[in-house]
Amino acid sequence: MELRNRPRRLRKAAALAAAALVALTTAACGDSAEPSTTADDPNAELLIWTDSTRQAGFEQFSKANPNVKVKIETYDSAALLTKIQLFNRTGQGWPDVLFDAVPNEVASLSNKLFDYAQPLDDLIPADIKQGFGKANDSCVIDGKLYCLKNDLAQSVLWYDKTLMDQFGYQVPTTFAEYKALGEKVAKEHPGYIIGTAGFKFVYYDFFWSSGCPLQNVTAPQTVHIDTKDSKCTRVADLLDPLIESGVVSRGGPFDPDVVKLGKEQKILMLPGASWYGDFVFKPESSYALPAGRLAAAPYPKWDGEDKAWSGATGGGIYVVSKHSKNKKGAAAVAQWMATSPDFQTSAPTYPAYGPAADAWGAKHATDPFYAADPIPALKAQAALINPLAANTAYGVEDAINGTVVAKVKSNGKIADGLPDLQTQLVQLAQSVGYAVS
Amino acid sequence: MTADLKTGGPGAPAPRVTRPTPKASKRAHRRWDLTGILFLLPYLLLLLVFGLGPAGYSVFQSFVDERGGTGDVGFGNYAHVFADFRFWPAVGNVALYLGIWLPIMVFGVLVLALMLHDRASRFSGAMRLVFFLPGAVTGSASVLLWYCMLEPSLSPFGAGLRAMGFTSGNDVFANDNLVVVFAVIAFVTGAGQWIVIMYGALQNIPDELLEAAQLDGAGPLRTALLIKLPLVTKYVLYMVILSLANGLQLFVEPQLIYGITRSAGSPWWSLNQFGYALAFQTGDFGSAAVISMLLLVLCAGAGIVLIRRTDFLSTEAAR
Repeated sequence: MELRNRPRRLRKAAALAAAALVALTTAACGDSAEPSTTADDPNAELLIWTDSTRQAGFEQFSKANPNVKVKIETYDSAALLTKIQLFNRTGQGWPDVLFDAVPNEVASLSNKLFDYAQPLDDLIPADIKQGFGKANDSCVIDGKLYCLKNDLAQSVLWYDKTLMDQFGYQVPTTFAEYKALGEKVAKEHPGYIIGTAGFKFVYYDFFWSSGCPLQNVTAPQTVHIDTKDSKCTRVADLLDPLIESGVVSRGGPFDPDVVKLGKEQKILMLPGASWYGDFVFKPESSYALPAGRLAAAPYPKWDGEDKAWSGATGGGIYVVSKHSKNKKGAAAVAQWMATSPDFQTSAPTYPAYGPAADAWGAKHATDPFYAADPIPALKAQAALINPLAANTAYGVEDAINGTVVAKVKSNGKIADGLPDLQTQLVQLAQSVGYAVS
Repeated sequence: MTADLKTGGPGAPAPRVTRPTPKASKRAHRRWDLTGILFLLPYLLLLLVFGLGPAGYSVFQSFVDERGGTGDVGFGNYAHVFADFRFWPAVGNVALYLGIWLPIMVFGVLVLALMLHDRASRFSGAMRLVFFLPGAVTGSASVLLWYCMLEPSLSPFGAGLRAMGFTSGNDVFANDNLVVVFAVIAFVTGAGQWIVIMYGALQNIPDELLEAAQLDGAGPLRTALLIKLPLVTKYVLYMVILSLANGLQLFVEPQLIYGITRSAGSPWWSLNQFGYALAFQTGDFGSAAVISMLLLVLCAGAGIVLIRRTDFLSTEAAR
């Protein structure tokens, strides 16, 4: 009897245990991410997520404000959205303050799906907001301010002044002149390049500045995408012949072959972000350009535009969590990081906050690395980031890589990548809930 | 069994054939069940918590449409995934990858294992280690290692690569080459352990059998093909099933290569990558669950077909 009953009892117990385990697993995976409605606790510890470049700044903040309890952690930028999704599922773990090097992600972080970013309109003083000028415009989504810009990555036209003087060339002020000069370089000085197209940055440097509607938000949750627009096709018309003749590289600025050209001082011009000077041309591991050669010019103007619009390759943001127990404290950390002269004056990149940018400019104007003061060009373009492109919950980079860049790399034409780019972006936009017009 | 035998003890009038009665056999089975269950229990618990539980949850998720915020139950997610521009290319990539890698894997492993077994010597022992070694570097580390070997500007074999016409990383990691690159990585890292397993299986073949074959005039090739191979088919099948499941879930290689090159492949090159992008980049867990379901059905389906078509589960006793 005893023996016969045991298996049944065992089976029953096992079944019970299994049921309990299933219940536990499903409960743990359930949606319990409700934003807390409790009042702010000014003493609550703040969890800060940063990249390694900004870590020193946060540590500086902590030193200057020893009464604020902070915990600073670096994180993997590629996994940010993944982590936020997981925190939403477990209902805990979100960082209170976040430095995000991919500004486009603010659109996801603030939407219903990720439900992470806290509107900062009431948490940041009006005079501070004013100090940013237009820099924070891209942080405004559906009328609310969701982030503070750390830096601006406006594109300027970098050029090797020594080479330009030696060849007797004038710095182009329009893209028509840029193209004409490119054709001249191809004939007179083959082997030298005036730009790159084989990297996702081709979006920021050319399509964005041209005003090509890839992320053109026309109303809440509505975007206009049209790669047949003349503002898109003129990019292909400009670059395709230059790529064909070899003066615009099929590689990207970080590809080994372009780095080699940089080291051989064969880069005549390079349209690129404000941080190229210090981080692409200067470092030993990169182009290692000798001092006194590089200069920055205002960005060339597209035909028919009244302004010389820039694109923006990055420009990090600070985001505060709506789940934070200490939102005021978190917003204060973000504000300090974005605006404090203590940190921003010596920050690695061009500050978004006006007064900080002036102090930063004063410090960099006399850098002997540059053949001429790059600050006037940087400052002029800082106010000219083309506002037609907005942050969206879909990214453009991967689609650009899969279409336009893929064509360039496989000896094809940008123009042939545009129809696929249209299809991919429209579907990507729709898959995250945008209506596409 | 011994207990059953005792029932026909010395006091019995006539010595009966000691065939266990149906009742006794049932009891014996039950006792076996108990021990079996005890041994199985830890595995079953883990299977439930980390295998069946999540799989069940995934089935549930795949039918709940969370995209519109309605929570509608139905086939919405399935329709959404099948219509996505990323889905069919990913299917094509994985199918092509499997089409190239699986045959190379099965053929390569068998040839190398049979060769090792044919000439058992100190040399073959050393070779077993050599074959096994690349497998020691697995997962992400092996991908990075291979990236460095295949990027002409970093590779110690740079000169060779350039001689073959690959002057830059762009040439090697061109979209058309990716399937082959991933197949090569997977073969080199995965073949070693299977060679060792297959070699172990070959060791089980009785020496008399091989000797008899030799006496009958079978050469090494004939012995390998007609004697050894049929005796290890089960292991081959086992390898095919596991490799198929592995290959369908291709993720690390394309994910890392795209992460490094930023132009070779895409974040949705393979099915698993697409599922990952759906879940964590766009927060669409329902559609991601559809991908998981698809992989589950494909793996399980292929496994069942292979098992049913052969005598994979039959044991010595049942034959």
